[in-house]
Amino acid sequence: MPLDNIDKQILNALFKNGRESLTNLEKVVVKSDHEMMSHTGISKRILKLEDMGILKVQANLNFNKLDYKALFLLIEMSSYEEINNIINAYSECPRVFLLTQVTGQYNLIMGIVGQSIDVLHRYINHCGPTNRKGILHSAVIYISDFIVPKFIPINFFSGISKEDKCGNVCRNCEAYLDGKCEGCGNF
Amino acid sequence: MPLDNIDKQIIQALLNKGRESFNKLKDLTFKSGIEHMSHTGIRKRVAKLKDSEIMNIQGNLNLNKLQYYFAFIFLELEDYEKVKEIIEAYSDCPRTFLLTQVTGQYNLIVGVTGQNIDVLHTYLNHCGPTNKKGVLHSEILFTSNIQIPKFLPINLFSSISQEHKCGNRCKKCEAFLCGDCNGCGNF
Repeated sequence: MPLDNIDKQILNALFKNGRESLTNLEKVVVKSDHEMMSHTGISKRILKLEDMGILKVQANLNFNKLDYKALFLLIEMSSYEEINNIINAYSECPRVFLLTQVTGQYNLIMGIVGQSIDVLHRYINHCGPTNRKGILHSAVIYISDFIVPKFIPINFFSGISKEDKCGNVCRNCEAYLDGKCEGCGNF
Repeated sequence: MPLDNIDKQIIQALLNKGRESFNKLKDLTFKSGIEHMSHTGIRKRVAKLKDSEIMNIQGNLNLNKLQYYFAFIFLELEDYEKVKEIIEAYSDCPRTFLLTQVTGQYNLIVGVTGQNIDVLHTYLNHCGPTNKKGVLHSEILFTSNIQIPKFLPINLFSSISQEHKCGNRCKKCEAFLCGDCNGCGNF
């Protein structure tokens, strides 16, 4: 669906404030020269954008403010099947804020976040993807500062363990046993 | 500010539905066992999380649905001055969905998006950071499908040109002249 000018104005306003009231949106969304949208019209547009899966208003988190540490993993895999295995295992991992297939020197780029550098190290050694079958080469790049986006959507506090997905078990992990990590989904 | 259990429940609920009413949030947030927060208590918490810049509620976009293309640019720069110049030039670029300082082989990782592969190519050649002074080495990885996050915090529709920041002019760009790109901030 191509977006029209009204959609774009709504998306721009909701990017700035996702909880902006319909009455305030009514004041900033212009239909044509002097004509404004009604707030019911705007409400319908928002619902439509959400139903089509284009828009989701979400609480995004500022990693810098929370003093979270993050890194990128660049992974080269032996086959497409192994790529799919990794995607299946980690697409719901609460520490993953970025997961994308790429073309070039690597096959996958992953972004991982942790409460501290220590926890990130253990993640890489214990439950991260780098020790998996089918990995030809991986590189770890630490992030020292997040500039864009300032706020990131991450499913950190679901309270739901995804150990069944990646197959790593928290009670075998040093960080969990030491009390440095509360276990999958309980950050 | 460390987050307590109530903050985490609120963040989780707002990650799933950013425009959820305070009344509904009240039902989803437990103080202890079965005791709920009051809706004014929740309102205060949300305001505090926003004021302290830990959380921001934003309209995130699914660019896969809009059939946008993406690329990651890895940059190695001559010195820290140059790193700062690139950050300054591209932190408000409407095509930048990711900009991080990293430690290791590269200094910066930049994620950029375009309406189609042609525009992305032209961006890289005309207004992207790879040709800037001080870039020792750069590498580009293309991606067509971002798995996580499904909805990206990016403001494509601000209608505000940031040409003065990066110093590249749309009216000298092929993609703009042939109509493939409507110019900075006007996607």
